[in-house]
Amino acid sequence: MARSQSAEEFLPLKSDVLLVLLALSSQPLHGYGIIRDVDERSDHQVVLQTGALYRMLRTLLRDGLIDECAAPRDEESDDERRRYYTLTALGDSVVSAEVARMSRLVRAARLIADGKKPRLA
Amino acid sequence: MMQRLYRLLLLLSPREFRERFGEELLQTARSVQRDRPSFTNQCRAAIDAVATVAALHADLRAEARIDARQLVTKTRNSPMDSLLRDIRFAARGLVRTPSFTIFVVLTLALGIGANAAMYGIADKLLIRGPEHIADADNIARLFVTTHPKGINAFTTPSFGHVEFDALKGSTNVIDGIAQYAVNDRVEGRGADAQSVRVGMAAANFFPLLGVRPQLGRFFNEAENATSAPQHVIVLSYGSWQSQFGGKADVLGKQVVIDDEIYTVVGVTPRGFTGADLGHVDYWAPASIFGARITNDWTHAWDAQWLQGVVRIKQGVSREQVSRELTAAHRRAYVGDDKALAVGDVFVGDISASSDGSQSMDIRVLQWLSGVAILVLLIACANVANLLIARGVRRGREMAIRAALGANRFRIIRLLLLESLMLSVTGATVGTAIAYFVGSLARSSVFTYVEWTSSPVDVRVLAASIVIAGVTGMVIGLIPAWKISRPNLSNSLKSGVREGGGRHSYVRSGLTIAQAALSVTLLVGAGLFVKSLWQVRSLHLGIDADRVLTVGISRSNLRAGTDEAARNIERARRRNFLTSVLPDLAATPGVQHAAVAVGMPFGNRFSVKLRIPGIDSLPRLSTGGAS
Repeated sequence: MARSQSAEEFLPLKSDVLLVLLALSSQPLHGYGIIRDVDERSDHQVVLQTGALYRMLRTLLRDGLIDECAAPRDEESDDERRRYYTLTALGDSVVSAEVARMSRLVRAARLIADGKKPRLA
Repeated sequence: MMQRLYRLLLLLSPREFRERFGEELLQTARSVQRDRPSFTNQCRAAIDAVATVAALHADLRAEARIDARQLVTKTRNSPMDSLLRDIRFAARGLVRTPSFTIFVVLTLALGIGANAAMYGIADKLLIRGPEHIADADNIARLFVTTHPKGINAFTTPSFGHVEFDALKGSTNVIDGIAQYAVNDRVEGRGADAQSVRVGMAAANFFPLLGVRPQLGRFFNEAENATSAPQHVIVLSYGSWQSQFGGKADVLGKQVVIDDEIYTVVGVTPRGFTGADLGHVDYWAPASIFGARITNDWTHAWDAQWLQGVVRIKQGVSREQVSRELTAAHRRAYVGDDKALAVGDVFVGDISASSDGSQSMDIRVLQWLSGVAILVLLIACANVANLLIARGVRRGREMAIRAALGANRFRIIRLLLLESLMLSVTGATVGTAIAYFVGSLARSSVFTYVEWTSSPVDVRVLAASIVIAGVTGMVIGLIPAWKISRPNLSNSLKSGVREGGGRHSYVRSGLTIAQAALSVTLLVGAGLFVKSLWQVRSLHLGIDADRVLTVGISRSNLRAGTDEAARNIERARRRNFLTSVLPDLAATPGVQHAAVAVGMPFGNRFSVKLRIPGIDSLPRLSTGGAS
């Protein structure tokens, strides 16, 4: 897309999208790698399905949040057909923005729980 | 089984997705199956495969919608782009149908060109009038109507010098009154002598009109004194250019008029022709010429050789000026002419003819303009009809445009652009026609007028643009209104005959209007030819065929000569004519030769007589012959 987009336009993210982006934020991964990473990090709570993952990857590529990249050196490539994905700068700022949004939300929720009046903006 | 399911998924998914992710997806699916071999997981994967296919198709549809919307937004954001696109489209459409375009452009060129040419003439005759006159609206020409016993009322713009002395200062409703006359004179001597037009004017003639000299000055009151006028002369711009090469040191040079030497004191601005439209070569003090008419010219009421122009005070009506001048004239008149003693002095347009009525040129111009407008109207009706016919053939195109979301404004705009393009092209070609028609009218009808600009000048071009714009709107609006309302369902069905069989009142109306205008024009032309034929076949009592006339322009008798000397000179001139006559008659090819004072129908001393019911038609406005 030619026109530059701001990170806020993508918020809020669906939880599985956030998890995929978080998985890619530490290192480049291939599709199966993403599924395993999310599985491990979520303590087997989030189980990504193959079709859903690739549909998501397609959208993220299209929106410019992730990009294809070369396989990392240390990764023993069991198949050259595997492609690796990494976060773009935009994807990175989207993740930061989403995390900030959620922490504000959590803080507000805590204040409400404490019977205080939060400032939501 | 899982593999087969995902293969099916890829088969059903959009091609773009299949090509990009196919291999990878199957490999990942294999790895996942290895990790989660349980039946529950297999069921989950099956649901995932089916759901993904459906979701992918939905995604693509949504994306296409967004793209389309962005495209539309982009289009709407730049009205200039869409206008340019419409212009390009209209131009291409016209180029694709060259015979239609050429026919329409030529039709419009004829109409627009004829009108532009007429505008060029009307601009000079009616709108601008004689050049270099300040506040021309307040300038009027002086006339007098007398009612001599037994003959028709008689109106003339000619007065004696004494009249102006009497009227000057008689009333405060005018800012000034000045007399002048323009006549043929002889410039130069011997073989170099040539006939020139000389304006003889009072000194206040120039300041009254508000003209400023191009060079030097105009003559003053002292130089035009009736007792001892000075031989000074003002060159017209044309004479300055042709006789003196436009040089600045012309002041003080000498010019010979009627065998007398004049000193140049100034040059008039280009295009200055006094109060008339005709060409003038020189301007000299009127008093010099007055003395040549009669010795008592300063107080003779019947030496009527001068015309008068009046500058009316701002806000005073012509009727009031006429009343006051008539009263002053009647108070002052001491001549023998009983009819003139009670004559009605009045002021009229400076463009008026010698009897105070609208000038013949302006009437001819009005007729020609009327014909030009009729031609344009016929052209418009014709072209509008053609455009409707073209539009009917394009009904399906318009329907498709409407179906694709073009609103009525867009369609009307496109059609108007087409018609404007046609009319502007027509005007461009029409400029050439205007040049031709304008030149022809100048050289054949309005010959005496001093034309200073080209038949197609800036004002004529501006007029053509305006005419083209109005024409474009007129010929475009009716068809555009009609065509822009396509019947979508009918027009889009390919089986329906294009154009429809419905009777079109608009088209019939245009055809009827066109036919009516054409008939009007044809009848007018026919009557004109018939009148011309009748005039030509009228028996004048003379046989004008094979008759040639020769006029002799000679100097007036020198001023200040006594009566005896005048008589000697008159006799000399008479003798010249009678002595040259036998030589002329002896010239091979000459049957007879004669000397005459005037020509039939061209005699300045003739009086118009009309015998009611025999040789003339009564005037329609008066309801009968007087």
